[in-house]
Amino acid sequence: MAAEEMEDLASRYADRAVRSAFIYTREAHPGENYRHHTSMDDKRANARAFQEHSGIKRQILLDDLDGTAHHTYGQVPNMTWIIGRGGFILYKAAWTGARDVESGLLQALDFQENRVQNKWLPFYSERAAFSYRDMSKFKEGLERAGPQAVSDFAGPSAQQRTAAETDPEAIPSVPGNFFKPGTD
Amino acid sequence: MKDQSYNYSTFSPHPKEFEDFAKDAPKATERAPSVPLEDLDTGAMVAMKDLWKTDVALIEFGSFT
Repeated sequence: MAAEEMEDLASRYADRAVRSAFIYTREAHPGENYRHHTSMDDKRANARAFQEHSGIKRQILLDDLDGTAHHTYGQVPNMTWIIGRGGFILYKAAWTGARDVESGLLQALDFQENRVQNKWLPFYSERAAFSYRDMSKFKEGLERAGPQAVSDFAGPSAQQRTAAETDPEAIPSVPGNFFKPGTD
Repeated sequence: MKDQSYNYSTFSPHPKEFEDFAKDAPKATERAPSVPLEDLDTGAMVAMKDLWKTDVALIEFGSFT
């Protein structure tokens, strides 16, 4: 997760009427040290550990134990949304890449601040986004969660990578990347 | 009734979740749904829509792991 980068983003845009929050979901990679939640107390404890470890100053909001908010918004592990005043969805991303989020945020602020004078009418569009994956930090995170988190991730991921090398129909190695090699 | 499978104890990849996110989750230009959430620091319940009442809301979902 790009927690530190998102903290920096939140801090830089706080004086531009941007309210930043982190919604705490289920554990994506539970392990012996940070287990899956069986109660809201479990969730609170893990969320506080996250807040302290990652220096989170943003408001942390806990989803309920059933993951109602998480499910409502698409249930992927680390998504980011930008929502305009009044509830208009301006940005939706399957993963959190701070650089792409900032690009979306600048556009959102431009729209909010200038739409009346420019007579802008919003419309739907889609685009691909990209970010750098720091695999060493990700592995540190798995190790911090516990040995089970490491082994749970290693097995299926290795299989996917091997399969993707030989089978065009195999699951892509980057979840949320729908591109498949063509035959033409 | 609680969905035990939501809080899984063992990770396994769910690539279909990303397809569902693209197709079925709320879309850009739609109205954002509001859900009650608990503030970690105060314990108070917050309506998600309060986040965008007066400001642009920048919302990241995630967990420690």
